[in-house]
Amino acid sequence: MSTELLSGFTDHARSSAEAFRVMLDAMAQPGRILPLTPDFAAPAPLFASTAAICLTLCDYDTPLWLDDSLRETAVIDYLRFHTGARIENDRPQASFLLCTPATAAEALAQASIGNAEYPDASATLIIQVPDFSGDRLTLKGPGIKDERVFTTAGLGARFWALMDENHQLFPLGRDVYFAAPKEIAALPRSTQIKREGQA
Amino acid sequence: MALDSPQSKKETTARQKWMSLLAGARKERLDTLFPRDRLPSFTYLRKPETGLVMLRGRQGGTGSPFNIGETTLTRCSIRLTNGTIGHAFVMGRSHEHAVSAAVCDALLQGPENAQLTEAVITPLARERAERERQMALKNAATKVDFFTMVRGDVD
Repeated sequence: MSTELLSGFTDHARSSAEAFRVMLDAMAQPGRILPLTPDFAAPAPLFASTAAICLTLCDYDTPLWLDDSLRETAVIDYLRFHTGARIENDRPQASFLLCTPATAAEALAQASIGNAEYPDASATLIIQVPDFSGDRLTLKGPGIKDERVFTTAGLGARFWALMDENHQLFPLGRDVYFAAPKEIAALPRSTQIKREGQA
Repeated sequence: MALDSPQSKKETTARQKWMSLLAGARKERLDTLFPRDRLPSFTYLRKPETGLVMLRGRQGGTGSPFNIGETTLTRCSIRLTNGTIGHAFVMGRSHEHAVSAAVCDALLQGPENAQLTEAVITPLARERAERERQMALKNAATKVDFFTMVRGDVD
């Protein structure tokens, strides 16, 4: 008998709608860091904010891929119970990929980009970051007046090179959520990203 | 369920049996046998929620499956203070029925099993058997015996 299984949103309809609103705002204003503090505790090493994103977006139609550091029995049981999503082993098959900075580049490289008829069939990455300090970026594109400076956890040169390629694929490409313990931010495929120190 | 550590086949079938009886019981009957004002304290893992499920049946000589139609279903999962988890999936929209059935399921997995089996499960099983017997009797009255007709030109 698993006794560790934790509860999800206390008031599911209301709280998931509130979380969805925050996620929508984050995607609409790329690089803006917004607070997301759900009213429940998630099984470690999953952050409550990451869990809130999963519980709001995932269902039985959206295969979920987890990187090795998050593939804990408690996490898998929790996500399966509350979302009904299938846990996928194959990155290109997943609709949502849950990763950490160490595995983000590989996940981004292999995630689905959708197809010309259905660009919305692409995958969304949810990267669990310890905080928003590290890589300093300048963003441009829809949802941003002029430019916005965004700092996020150190994700490495390969990740940002792939993000640049991802932007070139528009209207195809993946969207990315960054989830820190109490805050989230997003970078959709439409955002033009310039890393500090680059031309 | 996949949520639980593997149980022996026997335990699983026993649990399936009581979950089925609790779900199949009429709400008023369950309330009499297992009064709601005497529920132990528990927390919700998943509050009662109502949705639709497709019912499937079997037909024809080969028993091939077909969809009968959809029905409303209410599900609920709770955890008792000692950590035991109970689930319930009941037809209809009664949240109270789902909660009672889930709590009962959790209690039946613990030391209260014997007492609850006696007080709730056995009467429900008896009533279901009786209902099924009555139904079988009613059906038997409409039974048609087909017999092979012998054609007249064969001697």
